[in-house]
Amino acid sequence: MAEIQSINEQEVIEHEKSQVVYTPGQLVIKRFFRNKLAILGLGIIIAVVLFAVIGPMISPHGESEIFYKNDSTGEIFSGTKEPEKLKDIANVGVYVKGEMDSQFWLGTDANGMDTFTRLMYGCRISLMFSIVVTIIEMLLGITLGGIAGYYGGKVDMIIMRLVEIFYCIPFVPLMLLVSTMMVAFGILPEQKIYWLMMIMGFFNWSGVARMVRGQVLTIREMDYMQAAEAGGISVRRKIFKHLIPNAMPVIIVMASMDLGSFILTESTLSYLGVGISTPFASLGTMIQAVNQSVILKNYLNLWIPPGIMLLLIVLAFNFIGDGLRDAFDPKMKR
Amino acid sequence: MRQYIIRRILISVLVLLGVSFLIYGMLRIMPSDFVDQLTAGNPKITSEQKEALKEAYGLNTGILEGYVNWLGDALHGDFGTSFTYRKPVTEVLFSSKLWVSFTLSAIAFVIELIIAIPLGIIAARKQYSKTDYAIVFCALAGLSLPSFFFAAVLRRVFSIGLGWLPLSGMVTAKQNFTGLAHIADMGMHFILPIVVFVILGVGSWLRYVRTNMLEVLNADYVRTARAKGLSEHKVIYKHAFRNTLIPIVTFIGGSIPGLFSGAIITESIFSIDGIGKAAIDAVHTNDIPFLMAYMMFLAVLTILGTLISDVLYAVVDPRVRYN
Amino acid sequence: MKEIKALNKKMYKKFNQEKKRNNVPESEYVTEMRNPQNIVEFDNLKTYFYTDQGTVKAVDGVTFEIPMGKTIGIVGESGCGKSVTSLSLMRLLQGPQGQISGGEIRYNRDEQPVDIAKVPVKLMQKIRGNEISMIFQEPMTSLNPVFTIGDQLSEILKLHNPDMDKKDMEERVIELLRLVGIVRDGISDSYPHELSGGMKQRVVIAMALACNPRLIIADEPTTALDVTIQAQILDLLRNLKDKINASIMLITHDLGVVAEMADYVVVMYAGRVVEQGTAQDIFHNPAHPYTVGLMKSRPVLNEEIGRLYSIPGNVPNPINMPSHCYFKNRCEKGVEKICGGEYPPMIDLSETHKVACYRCNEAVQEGGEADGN
Repeated sequence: MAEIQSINEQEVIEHEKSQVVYTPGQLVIKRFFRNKLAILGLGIIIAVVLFAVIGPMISPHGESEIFYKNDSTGEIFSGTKEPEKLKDIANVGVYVKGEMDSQFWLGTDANGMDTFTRLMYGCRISLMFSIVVTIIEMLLGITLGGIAGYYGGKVDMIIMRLVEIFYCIPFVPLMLLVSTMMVAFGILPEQKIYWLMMIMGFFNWSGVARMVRGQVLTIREMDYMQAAEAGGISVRRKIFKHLIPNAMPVIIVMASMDLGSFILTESTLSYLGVGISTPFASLGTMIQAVNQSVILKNYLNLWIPPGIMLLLIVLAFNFIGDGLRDAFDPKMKR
Repeated sequence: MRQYIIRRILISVLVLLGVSFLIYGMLRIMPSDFVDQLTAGNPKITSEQKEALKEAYGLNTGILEGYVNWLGDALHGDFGTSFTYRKPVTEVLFSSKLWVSFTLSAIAFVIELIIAIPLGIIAARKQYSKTDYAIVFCALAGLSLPSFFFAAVLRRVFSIGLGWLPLSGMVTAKQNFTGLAHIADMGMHFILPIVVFVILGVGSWLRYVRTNMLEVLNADYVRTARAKGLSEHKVIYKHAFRNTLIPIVTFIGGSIPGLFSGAIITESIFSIDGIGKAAIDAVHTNDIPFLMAYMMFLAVLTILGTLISDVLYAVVDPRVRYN
Repeated sequence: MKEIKALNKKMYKKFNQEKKRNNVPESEYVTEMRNPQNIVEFDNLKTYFYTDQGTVKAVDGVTFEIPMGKTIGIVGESGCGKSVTSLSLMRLLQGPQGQISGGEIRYNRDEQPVDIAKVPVKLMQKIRGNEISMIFQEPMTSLNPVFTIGDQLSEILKLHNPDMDKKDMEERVIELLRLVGIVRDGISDSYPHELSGGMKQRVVIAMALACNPRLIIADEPTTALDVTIQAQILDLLRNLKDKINASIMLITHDLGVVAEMADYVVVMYAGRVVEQGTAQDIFHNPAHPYTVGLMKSRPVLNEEIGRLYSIPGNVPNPINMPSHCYFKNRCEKGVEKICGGEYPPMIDLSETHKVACYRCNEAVQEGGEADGN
């Protein structure tokens, strides 16, 4: 009898070993990587980040380096690197809308700057911009939403009304107003970008707060949470061990989607002329060139690449967000 | 039910007060001489108007007092005079511009629904199939498209390249069409903007329909319907769809006020004389009265949208009706 | 991982093609009953789920029969495949993962016996709800929230009796509701959310009875209800069965319910039938160690037994089932020499009593006590 039992036990142990047991985190990763679109999105983002970070180091041209052409000699040169050549005033002109060649892969724009290099800087600024805005938005939204959901009652009531107020303020028109204000304050273009980040973060937290609050409320209603509370756990443990980890999926999904949408908003503002402005490169300002009908018609190399780049980045973030949502949501598991 | 609606309306009023205070407060953050600064070099504005403006915003008084005064005027429909149009702002706002914007958005809205509902259902029925992937991909691509870039591409291809459609505007210049010809001409001008609206807007609807349908398709009562012996068609289009209709109808209802809000970018690109274009023009002329009123108008529309969808939800869903 | 994916893809495609076929010739699904007294015969039924983790053999070679006019109880713990067996009979498996991969389900139709596993969808829709109906486990969510009770009841009547006129239909709805003990006026105009759980389950039962089916599948009909309602619902089912002379396939993990209701009992474990027989056979002479364990682990009144018995160990992983008896590792009587071999075949202990266990076989050969009274 005892012998059989030991054999049995051994078999059970072996059997359990052969079974693959995944932690929830591993399951999420597995599900995420099964989603082809999500992998594609991740690939695009990695490529774009490399392009935006390493690109400018390799590129021989600067972000706002203006190129000139000497009409009589046909020589093309940089105004900052070789200023002495500028002296031949009669023949030198800005090398605008230059052709695509080995030196200027995508030609030069209407200001005589290298489009390909500006594309790198544009991606860099757009990415950084949306990352900073997302961080600000998340910090505000998670804190306020968490407080509202956790304490409930009057605090919740007040915060939720605030959320509704901020939710109602139309963002792009607001930015239009803000931009006229910036003119009134006489803010320099270099500082403008920081102001923009702060204002955008400040006016966009309501969605996050609403989500986090909802999540906290549902978690608090969950049986395991009530069991934990009945067990008398400390407030700190409750927040850090239960509430935050369980609200994380929603936050991560939202952050990845927002990264994309902020890039879109930023470039929209830049396109409208109320966002990042020249001499800084931004995908929006680069596409803005289409407002000159000559460029729209004849210089596709100036606006199609930044447009496609913008589309790719936003699409990639959406793919990732969608993939994460599917991966986190066990209902869709099947 | 009535109590619920009244409560919702009261909260909405409260929120609107908050919004207006925030918007007014923003104005007051500006340096006090901003009116002079902004209007400097704008020959259209007389010094009388400047004074009137300062008074309208109560710039010479305290912030609270100023707010109360401004709000009092606003409640009477007095948002000041637009610099650009030299007319009361409300007159500019509620003019034909509003209807132009609405017509465009409404047509696009209907097309979006016609596309999104059947496709969303198909995608949900065939979850994880190639069709589903293709539909989800298209939905996401539409959501990710920058409107100004997409509009530029469309104009380059269809107006400049192929010459099929007009580049911008609402009617062909110097051609005084009348009757049907006039409508056809306007239609031609509206095609590209509507395409932009539809392609950009259809994605979120598709996803919404698909998610809701998926949820319902896994419900027990759908299995019950199959167990009754109903055909797959009836199971989907009667039992499942009726349930998805609840969130869809509320979402539609909530979107209707938004149709009046105008599209700043698309309208300005295609030079359509709608309310969105008016807003962008106002920025170029620093037309603060108009921008303020426009923002308040949009805030009201948003509040109205949430209000409608909340109330509709209570009306449409039998489970909520009696609670 | 890749192999699993490829296999799943292949299987989905195969089943999908089968599903899409039009005009399946009758000869493909018409069959012969072993015993014309049976309403349904499961013959080596295999229902597999092709999941991403691998193929789950939820039902793996199940054979038993349901005699006409009798109640048969299917017993087993959660996940043993009892619900999947019933869903296979209704062809309501969650596609594309769940598929009937082998075996026959012979159904004794009035016109001619058919093999449910191969019947085309059109014909299946005629059988469902009309000839075989099902009562589901979750009364709270089994009714469509946006239609009234009356709508949902008359829908099934209209579907299977297209000629019925409106007045008859209304009368029949009221009659059905009365049959299941709902006499309140205006109930047919109310929505499911206005009813209690017990009421909803009654409505679900009324729906199942609407077309006088020949077989009612009741999948844990009382699990979600409280005890007093449970008794009422069981009484109701028993009386109704006699009234319309239907067979009942009662699925439950509650042995008390089975003892009360069933004529025959089938005990399932990990997707296989381990023992079957009349209620007497199973309750008085349980042979399989698993059945014995089940009996022991049920609380009995007026008996001092100290701690309640529980079967040690766990059900094996449904993917990669062992080749030997699935219960071996939890079995008290297990002997490595005998039980380590192939999965035990079904042996007859008596005319009605069958068991799949080597140790019971020994007992028979030794002329043991299991004579199946």
